[in-house]
Amino acid sequence: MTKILLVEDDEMNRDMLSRRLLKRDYEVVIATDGEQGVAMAGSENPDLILMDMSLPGIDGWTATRQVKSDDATRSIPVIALTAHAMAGDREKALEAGCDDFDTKPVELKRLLGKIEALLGNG
Amino acid sequence: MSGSPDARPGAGGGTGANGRRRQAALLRLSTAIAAAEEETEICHAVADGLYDEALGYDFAAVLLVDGATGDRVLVASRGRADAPQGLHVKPGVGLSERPLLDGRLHYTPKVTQDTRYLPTRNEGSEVDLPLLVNRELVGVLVVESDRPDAFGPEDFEILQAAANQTGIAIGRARLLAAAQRRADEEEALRATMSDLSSQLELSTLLQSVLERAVGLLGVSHGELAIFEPSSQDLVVVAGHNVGEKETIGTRMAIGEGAMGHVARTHEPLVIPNYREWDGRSEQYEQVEFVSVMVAPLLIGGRLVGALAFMDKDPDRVFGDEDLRLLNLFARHAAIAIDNARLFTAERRRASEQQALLDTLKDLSGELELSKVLHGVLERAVTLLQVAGGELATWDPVRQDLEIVASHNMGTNAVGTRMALGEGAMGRVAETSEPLVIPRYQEWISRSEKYTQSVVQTVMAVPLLIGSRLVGVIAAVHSEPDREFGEDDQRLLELFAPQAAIAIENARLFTESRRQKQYFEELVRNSPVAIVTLDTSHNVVSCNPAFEELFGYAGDEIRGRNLDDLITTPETRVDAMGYTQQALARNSVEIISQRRRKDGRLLDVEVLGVPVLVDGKPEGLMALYHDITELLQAREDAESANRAKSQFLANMSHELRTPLNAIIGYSEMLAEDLADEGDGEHVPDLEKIGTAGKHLLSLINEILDLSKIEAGKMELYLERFDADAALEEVMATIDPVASQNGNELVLNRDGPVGEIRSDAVKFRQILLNLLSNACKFTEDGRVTLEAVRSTGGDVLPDRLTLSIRDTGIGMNEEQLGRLFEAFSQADVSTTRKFGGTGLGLVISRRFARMMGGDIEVTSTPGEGSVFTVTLPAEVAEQAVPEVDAIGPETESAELTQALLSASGPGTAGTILVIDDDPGTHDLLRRALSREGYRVEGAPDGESGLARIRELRPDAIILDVRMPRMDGWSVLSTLRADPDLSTIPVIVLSMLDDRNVGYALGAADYLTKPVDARQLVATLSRFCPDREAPILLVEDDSDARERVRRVLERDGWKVEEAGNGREALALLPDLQPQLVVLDLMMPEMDGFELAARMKADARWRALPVLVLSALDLSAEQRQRLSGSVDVIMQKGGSELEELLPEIRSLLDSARSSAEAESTRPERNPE
Repeated sequence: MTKILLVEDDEMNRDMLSRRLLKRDYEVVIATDGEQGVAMAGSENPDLILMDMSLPGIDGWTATRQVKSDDATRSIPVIALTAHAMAGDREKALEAGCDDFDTKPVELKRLLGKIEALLGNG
Repeated sequence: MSGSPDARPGAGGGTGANGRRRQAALLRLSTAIAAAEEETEICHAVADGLYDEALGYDFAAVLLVDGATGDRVLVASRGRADAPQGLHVKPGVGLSERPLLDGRLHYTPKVTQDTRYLPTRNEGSEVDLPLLVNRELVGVLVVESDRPDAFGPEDFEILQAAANQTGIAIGRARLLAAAQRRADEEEALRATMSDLSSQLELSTLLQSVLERAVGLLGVSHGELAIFEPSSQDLVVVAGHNVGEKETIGTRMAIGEGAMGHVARTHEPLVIPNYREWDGRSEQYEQVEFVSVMVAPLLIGGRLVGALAFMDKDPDRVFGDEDLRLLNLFARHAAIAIDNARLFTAERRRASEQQALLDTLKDLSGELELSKVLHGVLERAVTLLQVAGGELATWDPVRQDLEIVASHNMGTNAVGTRMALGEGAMGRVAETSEPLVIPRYQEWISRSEKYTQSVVQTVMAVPLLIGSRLVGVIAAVHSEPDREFGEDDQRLLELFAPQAAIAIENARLFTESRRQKQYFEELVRNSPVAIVTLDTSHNVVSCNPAFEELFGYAGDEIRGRNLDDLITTPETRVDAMGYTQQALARNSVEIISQRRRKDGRLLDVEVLGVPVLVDGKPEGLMALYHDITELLQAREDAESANRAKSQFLANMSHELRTPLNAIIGYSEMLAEDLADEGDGEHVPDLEKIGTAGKHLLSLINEILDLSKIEAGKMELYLERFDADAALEEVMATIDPVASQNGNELVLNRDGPVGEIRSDAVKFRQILLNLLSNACKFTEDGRVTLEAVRSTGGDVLPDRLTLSIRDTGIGMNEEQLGRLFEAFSQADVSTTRKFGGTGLGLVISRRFARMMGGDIEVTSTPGEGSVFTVTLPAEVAEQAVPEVDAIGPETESAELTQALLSASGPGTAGTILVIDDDPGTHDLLRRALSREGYRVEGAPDGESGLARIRELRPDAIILDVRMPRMDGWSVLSTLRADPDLSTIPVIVLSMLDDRNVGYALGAADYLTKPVDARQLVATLSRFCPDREAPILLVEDDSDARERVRRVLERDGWKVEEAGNGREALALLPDLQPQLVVLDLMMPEMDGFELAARMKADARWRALPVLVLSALDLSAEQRQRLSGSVDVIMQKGGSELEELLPEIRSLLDSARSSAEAESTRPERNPE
């Protein structure tokens, strides 16, 4: 089963997304802030990380950079999730090392498509 | 009875001792005659000599004729005691008459009683001989003997000799006497002349002339009168001994009395007995004199006076000699009088002028009007020697006269007003002509207001400047006899213009002083702080508002440097610069900070304008407007805005989060239920989800719009595949389209290709328009058409996206409200179709931000077409539409604005030099849209450096910059031959066009800039760099040289080695100009030029000949018409080449434009 690490601080978002992913037969592990996210990327070794960009503590970009700079976790594809549909955010995300990004509110079909795309290649 | 000269021995005849005694006696006679000088003396000598005993005569007498009466007068005699001297013997009496009748000697041998003139004698003989002086019979020599027949021939000889001698002697004596008299006359005249020259006081002179004349004539009385033309009277001015009655001053009319008579007849007159003369004047009743001799005094026929001499002696008979003397004196007296008159007139004029000068001196320094008026009046009165005067000024507003000065007039009439035509002065004001009223009291037009009963004679004169009436001056006399003559009038007329000018000057001065006071009041009361400075920036004056604003009292800052007083260290340098700039005739308008006396800082708006006097700056006026509160208000508003935006941005997150939950959970639940097969509740859940999404899109739009309005919306540009984006949008809309049963079509005329734009906004616009189209169309078709149009070399590519629907369409009114926020076509539409009404607004904003636009056409019932136009390459840093040029801002923004690169630049490179980032933004946006490459520099110095690096095609230069202002940049450019060819367009807020052109600006535009105008201007100056210059030259070195020069200036250069090659190249190259050598093989320049001329394609192509040939007139003739400019190689042609080329291209372009804008002619 594909393991997805979801790094999201908002409870409702977390709840909605994880439940929907679970329904689609993904294994979901959760981190509630950036630091935890980075740590769990190393410890859980997920197949994909969904990283919310607006996190307390270290933000999503920093967390992604950390993940991408660690050899152990570098290869894990990261999809950035951002509430703002700003191309600036997108660039920033890509610059930080994200492999793709999507906007919130999540359109599940779209997101699933992106996940599958990345997992298919990975 | 005449006797014959018989030779009888008479008494005294014979020879011997008698003879010798005779001889001796004769000798004595001769001697005595010769010795006598004077006539009477001679006569006595003759009589005595002839009575000599030796001669034996008993009586000898000399009688001379009185010219007047014809009597013989006994002048001398010897021998008879009863012969009285002076006895008059009347004509017709006595023997002595006979020689007078025939001029011969007469002998009467026997005298009888009858013939005697003396009764006592009764016998004897007598000889009477004529006495001739110069053959003129002047008298008789009578010699008698008591014996009859006493005379013989010897006696006749003796007596004849004696008579001759006597005649001669008398002649001589008379000559002497005449000579003496002439001498006396001359002496008298000379004395008169010296009187004339020394004594010009006329009356004294005349008196002395009269006295001399009287002396010379030997009369007892004399009178001299002068003719007075004004009264036509003779007035006695000199008199001698006329008696008890003093006649000086007596007036006589012409024709009255002796003098009056000759005054009329112009002829002298002798009146032997005045008392019996019927022409006698009453004034001369009781007189002592009897005989009168009177003559007129004439100068060239003009009567000047009359001169009379009288004698109380009734026997004094005035003869020719006297008349001659009289006329002599008359002539001289007339001259004397005339001269003296002239002199008096001269002196009078001199004193008039002096008086005028004095008046002017008095008045020129006097600008106080009333003083001037009184001064003028007093002077006039004094000079005219009148009793008094009045001066009135003309009031053009009330159209009447007001008496403003009065002198010696009894009652003071100052303040009295008189209408036009009223009274003497009113009449003069009406006619603008002087007026004399001799008897004022009887004058019918006398004003009632004129209660001056003393006035007898009035003379009034208008005071005019040009033909404009300024006032009236009147001189009056109280004496009934004093009349105003020509001289008086003339004098007053001389005064009048001077007085008018003096009055007018005083008036103007008063007026200008009033205006000055008015202006000063304005400044004083103005709420705007005003300060005036001199050219050294020192305070001259300030108004109370200034004192209040800055806390300084006017007195304490006068003379001090303003910048020292009120600037802060930061603003000091700039402030000084601005002051200097304002003094240099540019006005300055800035917003800055200044410091009060108490140290508090103020934000002020400053306006500085130079004060020009006769075109030269004499100082500066600065106005300060305290905008601290305004700025604060702006700051407050801005921070409120920022707070709002911040709030919204914060809220955005807050708003979206719950919505996420609503949408997410409802979706999830719907999915779950669907999976579990419970389809019943799914629609409800879907409704929740839909509502949530709708709310979300509303929130997004509101946030977007507020961001746009806050100016915070930014463009994120990237290159992306437009076709892919279009396809993705279509895919997204597809479900929306099918919802309404609409067919969705994408039309493309080929691939759109890659574009550089804001991908998100691109998508958003299309989604918005497409979803609208789908929303308002049912069972119809929605078409998206995408076309990429190339703009050729000059303009960038554009994208045109049209969204066409077959929906309900819109009418005019709806179309009008279409892009207004929150107004959907109408309320029912909202209800029916949903939506916020924001989408279109936002879409259009986005389109415009990117340099494009959205337009719409529609037909109600048939459908609508929305057309989006966008540049394929969106210009960097396009800013929201803000056209206003702000005040000085931080340099960080400026640097930011300048650092960014510019547009593609195929139209040309433009360098903008301006310290205001807003201008840079605006110009960059406007110009790069047109395909220009826009570079920027923030100030003059860096601008100049950049010009050298960049060699732009044109420079846009702001005038008002700190440190080095636009004018300095311009002059530096013009002075550098390398850079002077670059056209400079000057931008300013002020209209200082002429200075701009004078300094060499190519054009001048005022801010705010009309982008269209700017672009039009630029296109004139920016040459086409794409089309090449064709260089036709066979010498490769020469080609190389010219190519280098041209390329360095940014031109594309193509070469041909001769005319034939060139001809072949022309169609493909399409050059814009040809540089042509003449001497080339195969086909030379002459022929090429001719061929080009003959070909319609190349006829208008500008040709510049660059040849070493020294062209003959014939050769020039050949070239004229096919060649535009001929330049000689071997000189400084390379320097001049570039400007020539530019100007050639310029004119070619202008004539091409002119051609294209010429209206079409109707074929006839």
